[in-house]
Amino acid sequence: MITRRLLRPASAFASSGWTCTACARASIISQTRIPQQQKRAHHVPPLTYDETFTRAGIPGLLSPHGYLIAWSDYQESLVNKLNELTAGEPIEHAQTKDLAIQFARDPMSASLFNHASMAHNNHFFFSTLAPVPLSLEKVPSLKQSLCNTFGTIDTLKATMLDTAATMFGPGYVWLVWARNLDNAPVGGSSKSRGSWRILTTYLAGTPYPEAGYRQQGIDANNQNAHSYNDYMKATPPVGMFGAHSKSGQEQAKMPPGGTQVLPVLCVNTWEHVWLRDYGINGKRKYLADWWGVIDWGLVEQKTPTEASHPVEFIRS
Amino acid sequence: MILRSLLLRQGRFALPRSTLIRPFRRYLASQIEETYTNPHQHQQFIAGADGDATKSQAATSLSAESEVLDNDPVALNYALQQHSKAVTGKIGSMVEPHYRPHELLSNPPSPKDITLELLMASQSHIGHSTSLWHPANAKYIFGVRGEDGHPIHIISLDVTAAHLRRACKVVSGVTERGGLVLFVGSREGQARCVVNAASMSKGCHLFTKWIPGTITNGQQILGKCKKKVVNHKDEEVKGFEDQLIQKAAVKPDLVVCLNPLENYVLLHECALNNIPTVGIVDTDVNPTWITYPIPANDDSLRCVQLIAGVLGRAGQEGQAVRRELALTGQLPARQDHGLEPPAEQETDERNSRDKEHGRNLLQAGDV
Repeated sequence: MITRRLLRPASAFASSGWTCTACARASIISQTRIPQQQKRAHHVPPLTYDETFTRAGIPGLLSPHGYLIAWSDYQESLVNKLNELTAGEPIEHAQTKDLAIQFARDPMSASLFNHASMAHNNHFFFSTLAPVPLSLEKVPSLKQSLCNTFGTIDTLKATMLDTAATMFGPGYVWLVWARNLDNAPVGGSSKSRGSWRILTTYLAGTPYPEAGYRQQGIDANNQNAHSYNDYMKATPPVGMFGAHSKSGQEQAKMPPGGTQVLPVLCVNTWEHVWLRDYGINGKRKYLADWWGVIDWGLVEQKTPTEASHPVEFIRS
Repeated sequence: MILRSLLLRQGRFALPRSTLIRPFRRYLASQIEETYTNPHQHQQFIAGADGDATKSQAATSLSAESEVLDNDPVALNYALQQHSKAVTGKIGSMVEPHYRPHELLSNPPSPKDITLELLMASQSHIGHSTSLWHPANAKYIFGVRGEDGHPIHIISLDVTAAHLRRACKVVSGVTERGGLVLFVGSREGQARCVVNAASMSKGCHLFTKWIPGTITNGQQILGKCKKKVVNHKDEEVKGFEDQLIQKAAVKPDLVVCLNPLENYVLLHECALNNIPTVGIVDTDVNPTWITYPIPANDDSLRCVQLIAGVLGRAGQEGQAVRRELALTGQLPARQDHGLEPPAEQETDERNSRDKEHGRNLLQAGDV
């Protein structure tokens, strides 16, 4: 049980040394006041188009009330919980991504991880949306780079939306740029060292491999011990010593199979986002509408330079 | 001392309203009025200082910056990491601006960021026990605080701020006129801020024990130090080697001392040689040792790093002004070096002689 400690002792609130007998008999709880948060470390981050969205919703995706539920109220509740969990401690000024990575392996701080990761993912989702989104045709370098990995944009769209639709339960689906696991450049060129990938994270899982223990990329209810182990350990241990041995993998900071990953786009499949505007059966329609309101200009800003340079096609 | 501007005397609305956007460092600060500007600030103090006094020769170009290869894997990794940090690092919540200790060293505040709130947060008002005080510091002391028979003196922060701003003016004034500032701080943990401040002011630093006699007996202690001549653009000028052999080591034009109690020998030598000093004066320090005292807490590393950072920024601003003036042809730097311009036909002979003998001179700072 997590107890919330009183920030000031009860005696500090007594205005004079003498209290009448009636007040002295009164319960101690009515005399103490827990002061309001005087200085909150975390605040709801401002979205670029927050005013427009609050007034008119996200055109083509969410109504104003739907936006209020999915962003304004929900993000504020996440931020309030973060403040509660980190108040007065050295981590109260840490960013959400750093909190998620730091507490990914700490089951006692699971609540803190969940709220930090959820705040991060939710903000990421809304940061790629705009009232008048830029079409992918207007960003040819990014389109070419995506086609190099997926073949066509329709394949990318189908893969992402189908993955999101078949996920049972809430979560996120990410489009990430990931470096290849082996350091040796493929095809002799050092530029083709990564490719686009699609990641799923259930509930409040995080796409960053440094917190890979809480990626929650699969539904554990559908797995058995072997498949789960295969998922957790991408590479079998090799040798007695070194980074690839059993002890080396246990000591490694990054979980096995982890590499540098940069997310550029995500879709939020939590029900509270689309339930009000699409109904309980409207998940597929919500995903289809979401594809139409992505601002590919904002996605291109997040894309690393090495990804938007023409990359030769990698057959993996 | 801060003088009120005449505008204020006319009425409080004569000043323009400050902008609503407050920079982070003045987030919690109280408003300040205009400070005093010296009408004589551009005066040349060295007689005969004009643009023709120094003869600068063609300077050798500086070494080109290392080229970053496009397909260098280390560079690509670093670029991806920096991009990732910029794109995803701050997503999630807006964290309120807060104190981060390393920023005092990596990005120190400048003189315009001096506020009473900043000084108090840096514990610069905390003096020593009342029984250890130096009575000459009475005018810097706000009062006495503390219980159970261990009272300490509290330093007035408005006095601290005023003296610190004055010291900043002194440091920037010295560097504007091409003076050499020496930053000294020999306590543990002060090395980094001393080096930072010196590099910002393009001066010298010392974070170990001051060798007694470095100024008064300079020809012995610093006799083997390398000396060089630079032109108005701070580029080294060759051709003066023979004249520099006879020249004594340069004395600093200003000394900033962060712990005067341990460096009383240094301060005494400066006084003997008419070198002005700036120093942090705690309640137990003798303020008469120092020309421009800054009453503050010399035991708090945060306070010392703040003061060193602010003085370093002031020196940086002075250097920037000097550079701007030098590029337009005005040279406020002192010109009484006593060097003769080298004869041009001897330059080639000297260059070839240097290559043959291969002189190996000690760098300045070696002991």
